[in-house]
Amino acid sequence: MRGHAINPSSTAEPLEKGSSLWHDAWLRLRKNHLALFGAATFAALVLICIGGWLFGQPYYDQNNYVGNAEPGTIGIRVVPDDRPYDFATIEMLDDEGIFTAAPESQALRAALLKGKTIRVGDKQYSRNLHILGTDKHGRDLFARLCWGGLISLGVGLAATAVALIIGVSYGAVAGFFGGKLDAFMMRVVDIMYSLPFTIFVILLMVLFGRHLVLLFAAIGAVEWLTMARIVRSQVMAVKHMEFIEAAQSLGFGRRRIIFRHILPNILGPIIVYITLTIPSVMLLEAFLGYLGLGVQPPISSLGVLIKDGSEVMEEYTWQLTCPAAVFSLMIFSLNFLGDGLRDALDVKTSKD
Amino acid sequence: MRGPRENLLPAAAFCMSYLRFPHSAHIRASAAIQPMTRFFISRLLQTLLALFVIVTATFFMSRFAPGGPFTAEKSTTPEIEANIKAHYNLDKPLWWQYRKYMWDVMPKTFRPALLFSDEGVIDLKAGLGMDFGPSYKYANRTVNEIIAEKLPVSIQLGIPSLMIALGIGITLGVIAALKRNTWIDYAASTFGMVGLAVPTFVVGPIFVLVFALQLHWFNASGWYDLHDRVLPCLVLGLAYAAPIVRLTRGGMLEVLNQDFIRTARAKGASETRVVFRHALRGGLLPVVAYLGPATANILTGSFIIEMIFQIPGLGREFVTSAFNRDYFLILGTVILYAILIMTLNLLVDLAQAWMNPKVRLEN
Repeated sequence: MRGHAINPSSTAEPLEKGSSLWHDAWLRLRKNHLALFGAATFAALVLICIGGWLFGQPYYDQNNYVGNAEPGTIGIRVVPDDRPYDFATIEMLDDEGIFTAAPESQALRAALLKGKTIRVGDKQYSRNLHILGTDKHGRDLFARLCWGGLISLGVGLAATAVALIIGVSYGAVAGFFGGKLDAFMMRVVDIMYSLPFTIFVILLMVLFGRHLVLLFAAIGAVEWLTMARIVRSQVMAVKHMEFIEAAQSLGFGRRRIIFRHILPNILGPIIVYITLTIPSVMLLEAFLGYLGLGVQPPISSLGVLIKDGSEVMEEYTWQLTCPAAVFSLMIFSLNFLGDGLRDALDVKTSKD
Repeated sequence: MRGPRENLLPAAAFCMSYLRFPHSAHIRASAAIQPMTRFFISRLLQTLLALFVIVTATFFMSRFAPGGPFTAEKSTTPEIEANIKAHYNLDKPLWWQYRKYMWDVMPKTFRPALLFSDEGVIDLKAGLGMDFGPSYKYANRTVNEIIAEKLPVSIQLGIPSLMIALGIGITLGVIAALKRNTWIDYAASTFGMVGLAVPTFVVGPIFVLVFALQLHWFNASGWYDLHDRVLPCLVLGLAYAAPIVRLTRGGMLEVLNQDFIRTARAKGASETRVVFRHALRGGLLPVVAYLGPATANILTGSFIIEMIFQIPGLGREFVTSAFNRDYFLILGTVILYAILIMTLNLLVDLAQAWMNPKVRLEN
């Protein structure tokens, strides 16, 4: 599981100019245009999300003035300002903080829209371009979308990591030791497989509050089962090979053999399964988000955004279609990439 | 509480009645009766164990969760709350409550004639002796009554959806495999890919937007007549048709390349006969394997559909009951879902074992 096992050049170069498994896989992957397209789309989406998150308007940007604005609307951005309270300007707004019909208030608004930055009360007001419009609370949809995309992806990665750690250790132990221990461990997996886990995840989220950590743990706990099965079958295939015998004859301990000799050799299926698990985790997270059980506002995720959008889709269709398109594109590209990797690494799709 | 012994026999009879296995399977696999029966019994025991785990886990999980069914009612004095708790046995030790609940929900009789009342309402208490206890939120209503009212709705949603999923999925998949690398194949593969990436909670609102709000063909929500069922069933069915297309196509392609298909063709069998008599049985194996998880997903996926289309089914009841800490309703819905899902899984395993000699012999 060390870095050098993943990196083909460091292992292959010093010895001879052979072609490693990873190099072959890369050559095959390079020919698969669909997979490359998936990888490129995914990378582009992630970069846009990071960019929007770093340089865009903060998602918490409450902006009462242009709720449910159309894409391309120029709005007003409000951020807290630490400097002393300005009583003179605050009188130009009404109690809700909204511009009134009074001439000076309207003049202030016009100045703002021209690109001026004005301090009102304890807040700083400035011009704000809403590329995708705003949601019902006036929050910039693009900023929320970028933030939500990162959260969805983060949940996908974190929960997959949880599944990876549990699944790999469990499957490796069961596969390596075999015998009664293996039979028992796999029977446990079989029984857990038949549990309706979606229901359990929902119950967990409803009953114990909606912490982000709990979300990772709950989803990870669902997804590790398949990983354990895959790893076990791979370990069983590898453990009788000669290089393992060689390692044993050199007197290496079991832990060393499992983690240094077996696991690097079954990385292919693991990587393929990871790329296919991330989208399925994201789907589950969005499913929970849609039920109102995912991350809680002001943080958003794509599922939450889709839910919010579907509530107002009749009047403001783009609020549904934008997050839905981003979400579907992400899942699409990851699936293409995963399928491509599977073909490239020549992994059989067997699960047991 | 009744004594635990006197009702044990009917429970055993209930289990035994489950053991009836399709006769056709016995005839076809006459050499493999012994392993098949053993396989079935071990799977049944596994299912029962899993059910036990589910009920126990849900029971203690819901009890150890913060909040309670009566925390929202602020107007009650401590005395009244104590009275309510005593009425529902909530003041007794948790272990006692658990034992009582486990005994109450256990199927203790088996009277199929009483399972459905004259109005077609499911009566689990009279038919199977399963008592799911009272509901805390719906005063004067038992969980049995709520289930009897909501379950048919969920089934009416699930079964047509499954039909749509299988019908569209298998047809498209078979055609795609037969006409490989034609536009039909590409269309089917695209459909499979799109269905994988676009979840029901995206398709649902978009369908509502297009077919209900723009074209006015259907109502946007509700569950009154047959007309209202089209959109929800279609959305749910299409979502699961997509993976079935992929699986059918893959399975059929694999089978169609095998020698026995070439032999059948060489012997002059018509293409229809080759497909239906020879290829389909092997080609559908992956689909059958998928059916277990798929039906589970259709059942749980219906939470979303029930929310989008405002359908008064069991899924919505489950989510709201968890929010309300309505302990017995949570348990009742979970048990019901678990039984449904696991029975289907069991049937799928058996069908798979029956269809595939390799699986049959392994176990």
